[in-house]
Amino acid sequence: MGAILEVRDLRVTYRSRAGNSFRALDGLSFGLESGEVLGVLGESGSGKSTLAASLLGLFRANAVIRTGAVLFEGQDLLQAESSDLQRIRGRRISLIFQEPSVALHPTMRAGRQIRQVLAAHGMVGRRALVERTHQVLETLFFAEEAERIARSYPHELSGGQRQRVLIAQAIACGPAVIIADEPTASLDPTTQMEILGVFRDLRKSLSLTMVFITHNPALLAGFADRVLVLYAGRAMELGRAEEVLVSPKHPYTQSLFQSIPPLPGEPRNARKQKLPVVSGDAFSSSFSRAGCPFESRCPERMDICKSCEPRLVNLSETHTVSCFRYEGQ
Amino acid sequence: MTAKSNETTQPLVRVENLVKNYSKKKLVGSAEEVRALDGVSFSIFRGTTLAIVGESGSGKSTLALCLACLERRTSGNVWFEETDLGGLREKGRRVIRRQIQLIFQDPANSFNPRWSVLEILTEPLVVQGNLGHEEMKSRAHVLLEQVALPRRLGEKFPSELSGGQRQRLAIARALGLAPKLLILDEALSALDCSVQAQIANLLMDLQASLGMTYLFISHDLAMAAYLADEIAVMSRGQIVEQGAPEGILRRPESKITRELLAAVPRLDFSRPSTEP
Repeated sequence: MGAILEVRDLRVTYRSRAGNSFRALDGLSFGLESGEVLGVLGESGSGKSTLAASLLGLFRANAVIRTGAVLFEGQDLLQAESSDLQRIRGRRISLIFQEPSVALHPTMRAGRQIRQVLAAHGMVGRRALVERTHQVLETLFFAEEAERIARSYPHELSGGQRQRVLIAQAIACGPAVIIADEPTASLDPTTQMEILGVFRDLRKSLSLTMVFITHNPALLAGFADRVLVLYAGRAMELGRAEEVLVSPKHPYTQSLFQSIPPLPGEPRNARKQKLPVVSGDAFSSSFSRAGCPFESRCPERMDICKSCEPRLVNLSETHTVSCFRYEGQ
Repeated sequence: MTAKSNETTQPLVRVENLVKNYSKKKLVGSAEEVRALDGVSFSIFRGTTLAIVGESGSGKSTLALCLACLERRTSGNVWFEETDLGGLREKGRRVIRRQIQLIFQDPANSFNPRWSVLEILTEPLVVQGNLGHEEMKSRAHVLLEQVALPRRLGEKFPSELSGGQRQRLAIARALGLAPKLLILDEALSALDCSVQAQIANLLMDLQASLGMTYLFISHDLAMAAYLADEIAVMSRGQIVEQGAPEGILRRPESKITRELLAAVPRLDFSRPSTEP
C-alpha cells in the first residue's frame, strides 16, 4: 500500500526580526500509510507544532521553507495553489489543536461552529447541515446529550466536551487524515484518557489515518502504530510503537523515558531518590551546525558526534535510529 | 536559611476542619454559595512533603490560597507553627506570607516581563528592606546558584528563558525570603517530562540541604507518589483518602484514587491502563 501522506527532506527555518534564523525542521522525512496512526514525540522546541502546521501547508509569515515536499495523495502541498489547499484543509486533512477553549468561537453555539465547517466545504441546505451536525455529534456524545451540546456555548461545556466539539469539527467532512497537535495537553488526566478513548474509537469506526503529536510518550502506548521521536527538528528514532516505547535505542529516547517517575511497586522504584534526567537544557538553535544536535547532552557521546551528522541507521525493517552508536552494526 | 527545628514532633502546618465558601453571583436572583473546601484536616511536618492530588475543581488550589493567606477561610483553623492564620489581621498575614511561598503552574504569568532576572530576584529582598544594593546582588547570585541557573542569566528577561529555567527562577525568588513552607501548585504540570524530572530533583535537593517543607499540589499521581512522604486525595472539597504513597497506590480505597491511578499513562504494553 502506498503512502497517503509523505514528508520528504523538509527543512523549515524561522527568521527573527534581528535577522537570526532558527531551524525548526531540519531534514525530516517519513511516510504515513492509509489507516495508520503515527505518534510524534517531541519536547518543547523540537519542531512538533511546525510539523503539524506544515502537513497542512500552513506557515507563519517569518517561516522559510528551505527544502522538501509534503505529498498528500501524490500532490505536493507546499507547491499547491491556495485554492487547492482550501479544498484540502478541513476536508481531506484536518487539524485538532491543543487548546479547545481558544480554538472555539466564544459567542457561537457549538452546533453552528460545526455547521460552518460543513458549509465552508460546500454543503448546502439548512436541513442537511443540521442533520450532518447531529450525526457527527452523536458519534462523540450520547444521543440524548448531542442536542444539548449543539445548543451550548463553549463556556457552558467542560474541557473534555469542548475537545469533543473540536474533534467533531475535524471529522465533520470525513477527512482522510487527522493531525492532532497535543490534543489532550490542557486536560485533566482522567479527561485525557477519555479523549484518548475517543480517538481510539474513531480510528476504528472511521478507519482514520492520524498523526498524533505529543510530549508525553506514555499516551502513545497501545494507540500509535509507529512512533517518531523528534528532537531539534530531526527524526532521532522511528519505529513500531513497541520497538520505540519498550526498547528505545537512541540515547535521547532512552534518557527521556527514564525521567518518568515510576509508580510504587514497579521496577526501578526508589522513591524520593533522584530521577535520572536528560542533563542540560532543552535544545537551543545554537548547536554547532555539523554534529548531532543531542551531542552536548548525550550520556554516550563520542568524538565523531560533534563533527559529523549521524545518518539514519536501519536496526530492523521497521526501526531506524539516527546515532553513531549503531553505525556499522 | 530555614532553621531545622528541634521540635520535629510539632507539625509546621496543622489544618483543622477548614471550610471555604465562595458566593457565585448570578445575573438574576440571589447569590449562590459554592463550598470549595468542605471540612479539610491534615498536618505537614517540617522537612517533609505532603502531596494533594485531585482533579480540577476538587478544591486543591483554594486550599493553597487559604494556606498562603491569600484567601480568608469561612470556618475551621489553620495553624502555622504557633499562629492561627484565621485570627490574623492584614499586618500579621503579611508577615506570614513571607514564610509561606507559592509557586504556580506557569511562572511566565507571575513575573514582570520587563524586569531582568536579577530585578525579579532582588524585589522581594527590597521588600524585606535591610540589605544594601551590593548585598542584594550577591544574594541574588547565591539564589541563582541554589537553583542551578548560570549567573549570566541575571541580565536576561523572562521571555528569554526556557520553561524549566523560568520555573527554577520562580523557585529562586521564593527561596529569597527563606520561607518555611513552599506551596507548589501544579508547578511541574506544564513542563516537558525531562524538565519535570530536573525540577523534581531540584526540589529534593533543596529539601535535603535546606530542610524545606513542601505542599505539592498536582493531578499527577505518579510524580506525587515519587516526591511525597504522604498523599492526600481530594474530591469535591474533601480529603477522601490520605496516607503513605505506597499504601494509597497499591490499595486505593476511593473511587477517585482508582480513577487517577488508571489515568497515569504507562509505557508498559502489557497493562493498557488507558482503556476507558
